[in-house]
Amino acid sequence: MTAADPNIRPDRSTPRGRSDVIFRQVGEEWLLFDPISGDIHVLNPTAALVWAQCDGATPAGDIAAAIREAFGQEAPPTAEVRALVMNTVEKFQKLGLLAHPAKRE
Amino acid sequence: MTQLLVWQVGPVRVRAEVPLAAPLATWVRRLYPDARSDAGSGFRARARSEALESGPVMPDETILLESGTDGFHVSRGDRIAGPLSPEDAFVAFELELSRALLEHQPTLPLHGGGAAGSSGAVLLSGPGESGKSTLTASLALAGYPVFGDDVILVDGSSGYIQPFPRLLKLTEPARSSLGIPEKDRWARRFPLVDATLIHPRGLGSGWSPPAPLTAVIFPHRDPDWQENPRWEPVPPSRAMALLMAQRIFPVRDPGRDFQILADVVGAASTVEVHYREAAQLVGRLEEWLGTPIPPTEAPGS
Repeated sequence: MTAADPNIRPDRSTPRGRSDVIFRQVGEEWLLFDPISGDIHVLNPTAALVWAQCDGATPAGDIAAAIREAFGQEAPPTAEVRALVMNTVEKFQKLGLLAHPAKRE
Repeated sequence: MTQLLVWQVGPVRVRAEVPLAAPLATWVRRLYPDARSDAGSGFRARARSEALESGPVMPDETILLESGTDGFHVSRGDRIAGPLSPEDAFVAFELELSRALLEHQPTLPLHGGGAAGSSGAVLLSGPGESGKSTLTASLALAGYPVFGDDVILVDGSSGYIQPFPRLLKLTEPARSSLGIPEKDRWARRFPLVDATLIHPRGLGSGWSPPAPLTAVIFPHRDPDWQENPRWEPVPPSRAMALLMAQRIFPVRDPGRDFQILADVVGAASTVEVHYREAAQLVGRLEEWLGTPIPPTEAPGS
């Protein structure tokens, strides 16, 4: 997924987390557990917000908007948040946590 | 003469064809007080045992303890141990029996030890030589009922820790330092495991009732540690990874196991400690445990 390709609209992709991956808050930490690899991933609050919306129906652009809303008045610029969301989704994908590669339109 | 024994222990039926039925049955009754057994020889015993069995017995629920010219052999499915001395054959048989029981447990079995008090349960988790057996025995000597020093059970529905009644296993230095006799009514040395196995009754305690978890302690014993014990909090993610690695059946249902552990770890303190001797830690552990509570009725008492 590269932003340089004019045919790709990353913000229209609808990432979906694998249904068997477990998302839990334990103490003060947000954790993702992959039962296939056995790996436990620690998410920062922003990544936790992104994962919570990786439902296969919410476009990445909408996830970014939701995160800007969560930041409130201290929200970074829209482009910065979108880049953050796309980087996070890409990391989820590289870790094999998504059901399939995010759609590209 | 080979005799046939059948035990019904909780949901599990275990069969054994053994040449030393009487002492073996006594030992199993001491460990598993709710076990129903039938002992005898020949056709009549088989008939009685078949009456006890209300359903089919799977091959993995059959444990054989057989004598050969070179010693005793214990087998279950494709797992075989031997040749063994009679005493070590008992230990090997009990290992297989406990494994068979654990495979049928609806709870999550973990390697670990611990004890319970009025405030709840302290779980001791760590690899071999980390000191959890000696710590568990020290807590038993302080009057706290214990869950075991090798296996404990986590009940996913209640979040409580439950005991799994296997004898505590102490190395010679640990037994000696705690002043526990090598052999008495409750303790016996077994060459197979190079340790003294002791019932918590022999330490003035017993098996704990189920209790909610208040703390998970990851001990690191270092004989060369010169400082006072160093206690450090463990992040939940690391505690979860360490506990997941201590599951006895790691491939059975890792997702369910993670959920169960997340429930109990999220509500408990998670701490690691570097130390030299178990006696240094008992006072601090008592802060999590509260005051000693009565054990469940001890088997064989």
